[in-house]
Amino acid sequence: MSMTDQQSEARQQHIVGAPMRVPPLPQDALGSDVRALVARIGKPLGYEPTAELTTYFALMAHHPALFRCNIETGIMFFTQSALPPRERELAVLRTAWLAGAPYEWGEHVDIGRRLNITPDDTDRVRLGPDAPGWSDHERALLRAVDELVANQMITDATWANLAQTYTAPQLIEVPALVGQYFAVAMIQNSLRVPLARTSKGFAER
Amino acid sequence: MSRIESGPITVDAAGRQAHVIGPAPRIAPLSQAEMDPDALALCIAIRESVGVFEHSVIPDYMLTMVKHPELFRCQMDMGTVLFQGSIPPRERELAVLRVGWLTRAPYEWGQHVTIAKRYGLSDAEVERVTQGSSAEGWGAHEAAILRGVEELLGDHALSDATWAALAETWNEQQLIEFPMMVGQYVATAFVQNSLRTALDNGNPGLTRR
Repeated sequence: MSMTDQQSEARQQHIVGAPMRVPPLPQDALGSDVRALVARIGKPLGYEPTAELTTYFALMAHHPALFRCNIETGIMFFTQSALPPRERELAVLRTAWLAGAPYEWGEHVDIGRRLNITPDDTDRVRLGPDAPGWSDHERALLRAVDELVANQMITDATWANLAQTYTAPQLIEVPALVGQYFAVAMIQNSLRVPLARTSKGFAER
Repeated sequence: MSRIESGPITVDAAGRQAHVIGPAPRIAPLSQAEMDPDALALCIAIRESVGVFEHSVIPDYMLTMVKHPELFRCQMDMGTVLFQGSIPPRERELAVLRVGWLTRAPYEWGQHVTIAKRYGLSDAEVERVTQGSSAEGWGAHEAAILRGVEELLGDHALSDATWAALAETWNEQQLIEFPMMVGQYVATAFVQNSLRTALDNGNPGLTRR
C-alpha cells in the first residue's frame, strides 16, 4: 500500500488535525520516575534530557504501569535488540507508514537519520518492498512487515529468505517489533497525539 | 487488514489453522532440560504473576520466546500489567477475542476463549464475537469495544463515534489502556502465528467456543 502525498496529508489532518482526546498531564505533575524513564529511552539515541517532556510522555503518564512497560520495551529495542539498528528502523518506518501514523513516522525518520537512513531510503520505504534499490534481505524484511499488517503472519517464502541470515532471536524479534510499533501507532493515532515540536509528520524524509 | 470488519468475516478455520500451525514450529522450542536457571525462573515468575503455580510443563510458546530473553521479559511484563489493568477483565477478554478472530490466530483465540469463560462470557457470546460489533444482542458499551477493535485493526485509529461511546463508560486511564491493550494482543498474534506456535493443553484453536 502506498499513500500519495495528497492521501498522506489528508490522513495526517484526520489523525492530528483535531485536539487531543485526553489532555496530557501538566509538566509539574510529572514525577521523577517518569522523567528518569524518559531520560533512559533518550540516551541510546543521543537525545539530551529536556525539562519539558513531550506530549506523548505526558499523556502516557496518566497510566504509570502501562507507561513503564511501554518505555521499557522501547529501551529494550534501542539497547538489546537482536537486529542491526538500520534494519530495525527500516521495519519500524514501514510499520508507521502502513499504520498511517504521522507521529511515529516523523519520530522514526529522525531516529533513522542518526543511523544513516537517508531521505532516499525513507522515500523507498513509502513505496515498499517492490521498490527498486533494496538488497534481497532488506526487501524480505519490508515484505514481512507488509505481510504481518495484511495477513497477520509472515509467509514461508519471506521467512525462508530472512532465515538465510537471521538467527533465532532475530527471527523472533521481527513480528514482535512490528507488533510493538503497530500498537504504538494505534495509541498515538487514537489519542490524536500532536506532532512533536519540530516534526512535519509524513512530510519528513 | 485495511477494512473495518464489523460483521462476520469468512474464516476457513481448518484451512487457516493448517496454514498457521503447519507441520512444525518454525523455531524449535528449548527442551525444559535446556533451559538455564535464569530463563526457567523468568518463566515461573511470569506464570505465577497470572495465577499459575504448577510448572511441570512450561508451554512451548514460552520455551521458544526465552531464546530472546530481553524481549520475552518485556512482552510478559506488559501482559501482566494488562492482566491487572484498569479495564474490567470481561471487557478486556471480549476485545482480545475479537482481536484473535480478526487476526485469525488459532493459539490466541483458543487460549482466550478459555480465559473469557472464566470471566463470565457464555458460549453464545463467544459465538457472537465471531459475528462482530454489528451482531444483534450486544449492549452499547460492548458493541463499542468490539467496534473499537475492528477500527484499530482496519484503520489503526479509533473513530470519533466509537471514542465517544467508550468515553460514556470508561475513564481516561481506561481509554488510554484500550488501544495499547489491543495492540499488544495484535502483536502477540503476529508472533504466535509467524512462529507457528503449536497448540497445547487441548487447545483446539479457532473451533473453540
